Amino acid sequence: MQLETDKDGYLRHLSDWSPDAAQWLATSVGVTLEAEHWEVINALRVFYADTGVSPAMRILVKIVKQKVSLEKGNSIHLLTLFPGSPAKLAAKIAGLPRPTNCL
Amino acid sequence: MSDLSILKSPGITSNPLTYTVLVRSGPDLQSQALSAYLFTKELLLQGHQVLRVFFYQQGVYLASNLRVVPQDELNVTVLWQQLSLDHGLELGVCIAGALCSGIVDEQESSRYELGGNNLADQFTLMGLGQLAAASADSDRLVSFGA
Amino acid sequence: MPCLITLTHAPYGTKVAKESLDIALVLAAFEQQPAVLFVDEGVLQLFPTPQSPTSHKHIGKIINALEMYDINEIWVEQESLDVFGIAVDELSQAVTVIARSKIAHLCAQYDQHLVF
Repeated sequence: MQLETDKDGYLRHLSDWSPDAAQWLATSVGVTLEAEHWEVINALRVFYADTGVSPAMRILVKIVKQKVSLEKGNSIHLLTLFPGSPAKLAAKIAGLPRPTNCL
Repeated sequence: MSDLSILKSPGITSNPLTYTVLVRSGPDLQSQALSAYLFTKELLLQGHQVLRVFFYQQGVYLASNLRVVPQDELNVTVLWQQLSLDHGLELGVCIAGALCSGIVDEQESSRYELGGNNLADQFTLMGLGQLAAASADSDRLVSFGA
Repeated sequence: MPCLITLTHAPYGTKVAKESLDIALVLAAFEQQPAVLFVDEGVLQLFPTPQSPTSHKHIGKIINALEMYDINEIWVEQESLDVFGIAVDELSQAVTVIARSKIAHLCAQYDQHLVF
């Protein structure tokens, strides 16, 4: 699979996203997708579809807390799944635009 | 707006406050852009602190170093630059709005492989969060623009 | 500090409405407890979003983010709803309707007031 990405590895065309694309993107950043990753990816995609917002870390934590589970809605869990910068990494793999960092 | 009354009472204030100034108009509404500049300048002269000036929406266009202004008009971009140099004033430009409007610095130009950059000196691209952060630390947030 | 943000633009054609809401969201993200007041064409931001005929993102749907950002003080001017013939139960968000005559009193309760 070959997907067009920008210099930072985000999809150039969000319409190219698919679960297979997510796998490809995850591999490109050294993440192996498991069920818990998909919980976050799906919640994120729904939030983006509803609001058009690609959220920063604080709101991502809230989204996971509300839409996945209370226990998983914390930065530690997200850092475990998406090391480094969970908001940026999760957005990249989920086929969202780069988070604006403020919202 | 009562804050504008400071323009009528020059001299060092006995009650210095901390301000954040939001500029939402640019070349499209020069009068507001100029008012923002004059107000900020007066704040600084009176000894108030201006944490940050944040350029948003149409205001981002003031941060372009490619503006050509007729000789008989004021170049508000240059005025802001001088004010920044004179007072160490931080001029923040909303990065999302700037990019969308074609105002980019070297870093963003490189990130998006654009081939050129045009952010005027003294201006810095930053996220909208910096407006909120400055506002949180200020006594007043004053907005200019329609 | 508590801030009231008055929103007067419709979410059609221009980005002004979305950019104005962004300010509300970012202030909320920074614990500034903003309240929002929709007047004039701003009330159209609360009208449920029709399916976009194109693939373009409907910029008005950012209104659905209000809840996640803990912005729950949402005011709507009665007279503006009347102008557009909108009943309050048609709106997409839980709101408090306020008469125009009471708005000055509402504004007076806030340290900061931004009008977009």
